[in-house]
Amino acid sequence: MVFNSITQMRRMPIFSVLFLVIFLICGIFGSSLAPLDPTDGDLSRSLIPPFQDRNYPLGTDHLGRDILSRIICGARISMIVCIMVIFFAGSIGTVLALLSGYIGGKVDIIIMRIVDTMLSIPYMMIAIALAAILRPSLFNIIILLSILGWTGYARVIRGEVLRIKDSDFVKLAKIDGCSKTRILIHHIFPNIVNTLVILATLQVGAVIIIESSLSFLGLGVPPPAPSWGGMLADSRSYISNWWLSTFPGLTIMATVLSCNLLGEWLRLQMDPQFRQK
Amino acid sequence: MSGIILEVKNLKKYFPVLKGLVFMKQIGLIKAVDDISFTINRGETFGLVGESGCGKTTTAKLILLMEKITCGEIVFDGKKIDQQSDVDLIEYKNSVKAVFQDPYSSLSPRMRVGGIIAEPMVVSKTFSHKEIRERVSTLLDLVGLHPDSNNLYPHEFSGGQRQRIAVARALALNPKLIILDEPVSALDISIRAQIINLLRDLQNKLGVTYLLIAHDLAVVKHMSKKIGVMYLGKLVEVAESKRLYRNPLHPYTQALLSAALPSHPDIRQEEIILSGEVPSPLNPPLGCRFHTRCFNAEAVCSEEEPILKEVEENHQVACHLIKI
Repeated sequence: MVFNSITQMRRMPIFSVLFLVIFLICGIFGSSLAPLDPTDGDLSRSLIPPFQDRNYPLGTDHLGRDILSRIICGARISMIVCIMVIFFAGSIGTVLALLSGYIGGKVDIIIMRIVDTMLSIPYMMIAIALAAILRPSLFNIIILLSILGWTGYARVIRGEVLRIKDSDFVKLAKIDGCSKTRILIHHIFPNIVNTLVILATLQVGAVIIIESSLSFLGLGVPPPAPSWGGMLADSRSYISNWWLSTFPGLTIMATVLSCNLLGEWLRLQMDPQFRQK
Repeated sequence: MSGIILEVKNLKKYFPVLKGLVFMKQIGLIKAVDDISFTINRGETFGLVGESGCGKTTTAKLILLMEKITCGEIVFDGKKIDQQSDVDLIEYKNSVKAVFQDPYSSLSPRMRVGGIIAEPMVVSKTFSHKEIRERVSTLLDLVGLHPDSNNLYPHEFSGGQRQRIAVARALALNPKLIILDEPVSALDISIRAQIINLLRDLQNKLGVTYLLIAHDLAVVKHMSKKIGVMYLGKLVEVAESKRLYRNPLHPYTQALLSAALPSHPDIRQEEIILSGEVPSPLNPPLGCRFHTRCFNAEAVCSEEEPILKEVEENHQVACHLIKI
């Protein structure tokens, strides 16, 4: 995105962007940035509270591992899962929604019944069942969340497609002899991008939370690899040692919030009607 | 520049009414357009008037091939339009364009003005990039917009300017016929005159033919050479504009014209108030469709359907009570 003026920059949610940049840097270079080895445990220094030991600013967990290092390295898993799931779920959902909404008829009925079926099964149950069959691994989690995640896109975007399909500019495009593909790509798709961006940014939050919940239930990325959900899961028997759950929890919260705020700003930026105001 | 450009013969459009959840059963037909015929001369404007729901827009959609024709034919420039044959169809689609009522929904909000106007040329694939760019600025100039407008988005324009963009797009391929479906109804009174004059200027300059659909009688009178009056899917009267306004023969036309506001507030004219509602097109009355509301209906009107016949030169009426 090109910034034409300072005013546009000014409304950018700086803290969100800053946080997400840190998140991405941690995700990419996590292992070399972390001050200590996130998997190196030593029971002799377990459960050190935060802000007391210079070497362990956020304290250590029950196995004596540095929490700060684990949070930094855990970003990688959240990042990979988010990006991949949003890419796959978003693409599948958008393509199916475009076909379903624009072609209509039997195609629409079939796709929408699949969506209805998927939505009627409790999310967590399917996740647990599939995770049990597929065995916990990063790759399987991405597949699992993509299969579960595309239905939201399909539902919402199909509605948008139906609305846009009936507008006069699509009718005029048909009169001018535009092919179906051209109408879908040039007329309908640009007008659903807004919705797509909002859904994608909202899904960042959902994906991080579900990934964390799966890890919490022991169905996520297998230990000892650090992941935020896994850290929360580990902390459940040490509830009186508040720092074990608070720091990963706050990190998840801040990431999700930043994504949602950035998404809101992006949506306004991408809408030509708001851009100049 | 004379001769017939478009001839519509016995055009019909029936919409089936379906009932039932699983086994759809046809319980009736809505006769939106029922057996209408008219001709439009090259370079002239044909106005189509009537109250809402009478089938004006459906007629436009049929001519634009947006709906399947139930029955009847369209002859354009001497060629019968066959919805199957591809080659002729492309040519037909390139020579018949449309401008719709709402300038806010007829321009894609995510496309720049240049792209909107250029689209018909891009799709037709007979222009180079350079030609398209030149043509876009010529068209913008033609409709009275600044050539730099092509990089802006539609929301940066007012309603009147948007309608100018829509007109420019319609003109892109040098069409022979433009269907104007309520082109000024959504605009302010002050802007209406500008757009109407623009359309007239363009007609004089380019010799394009218009089919004007409107419910504003003053607009139709100002623009059209010939006017067709529709009631419940039927053409009840077709006449030259001046003749129709001076001497409306069909009772419905008389009532319609008497309902129009006079051009000066001091002019008092007698208004014909019709009783009752428009009958449902699902179950139109037998005989003359207007007899249920006609103020001088006779027995024959409810029995026999009147046909459109010429009563004087360039003046056709479908009414039993008009004797030649």
